Amino acid sequence: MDRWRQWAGYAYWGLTLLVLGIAAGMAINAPTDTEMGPIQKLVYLHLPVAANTFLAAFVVCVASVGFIGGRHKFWDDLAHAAAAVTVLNGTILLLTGIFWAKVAWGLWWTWSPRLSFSLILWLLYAAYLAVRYRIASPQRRALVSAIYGIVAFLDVPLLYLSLKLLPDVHPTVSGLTPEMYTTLWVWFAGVTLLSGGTIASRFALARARVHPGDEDDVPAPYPLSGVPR
Amino acid sequence: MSDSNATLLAYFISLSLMLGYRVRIAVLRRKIKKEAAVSLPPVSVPSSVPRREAVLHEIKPPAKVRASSRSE
Repeated sequence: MDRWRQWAGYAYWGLTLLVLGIAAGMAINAPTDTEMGPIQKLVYLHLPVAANTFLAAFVVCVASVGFIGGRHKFWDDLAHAAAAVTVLNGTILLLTGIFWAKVAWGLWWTWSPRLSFSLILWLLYAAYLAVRYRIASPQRRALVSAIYGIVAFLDVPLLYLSLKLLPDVHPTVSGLTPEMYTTLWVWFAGVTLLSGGTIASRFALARARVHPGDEDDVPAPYPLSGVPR
Repeated sequence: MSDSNATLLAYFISLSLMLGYRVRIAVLRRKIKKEAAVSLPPVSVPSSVPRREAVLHEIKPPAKVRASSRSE
C-alpha cells in the first residue's frame, strides 16, 4: 500500500511538471498582445494563481468548519496546509501583479479596490500562520485557527463583490485569441495540480509529525476498555 | 527593465517559489520518515510468550488507576 502510494505520488509529480512544461512552451509560443506587449503573457500565471488562492482559502474555511463540527485534528492539519498554500499563492499573485503594474502603468502599486482586497487577503492568511505559531497549546491553537479561518474567508466574497460593484483601474480579461485561451487553460491545469499537490503534501507532512498532547495523536494508555483516561 | 525581461523574471521568481516550497516539503517528509524508522526499532518478543500477554506486560496502567483498583 505504501509502495503504491509512493508511486502515485511520483506519477502526480511527473504529471504536474509535464503540464507546467507544456504550459511554459505554449506561453512562449502564444501570440504577443499588440497593445501591451510581452508583459501581457503574465496573465497566464497571474489568473490561475488568483483562482487557486481563492480555492485554497475556501479549503481553509471548509476545514475550519469541519474542525468546529468534529474537533478532529485531521481538519486542523488540512486548514493549516491550505493556509500555507494560500499565502504562497497570494505572494505570487501580488508579485506578478506588481511586475505587470510597473510595466503597464509605470508604478509598482496603486490603492485600487481589487489590489487592496488582495493585499488584505494575503495579510489575513499570513497572520493566520503567525497566530498558529504563537499559540503553544495544540487544542487552543486549533480552535482559535478554525474561528479565524472562517472569519478570514469573508475577504474573498468582498474581493469578488469589489470587482462587480466598485470602479477599478485593474484590467479585465478580454480580447484574447483562442490560442491565448488554450494557453490560459493549460496554465490553470498546471497551477491547480501544483497547488493541490502542495496542499496534499503539506497535509501529509503535518500528519507524519508527532504532536504530543494532540487529541487524536495520543495513543490510548492501554488497550483495555472502560478504564478512565 | 524591458517588458520581456520583466515577464521572464516574474515567471522565474514565481515558479521558483512554488516548486521550491513543494520540494522543501518533500525533503522534510523524507527526513521525518527516516527519523521515524531509526527511532522505532522492531520490537522482538520471544516466541515462547503469547502475543496478548506480551502486550499487556509492556503497557502498564498509570499509577492512579492501579491504586484505585487495589482499594476496590
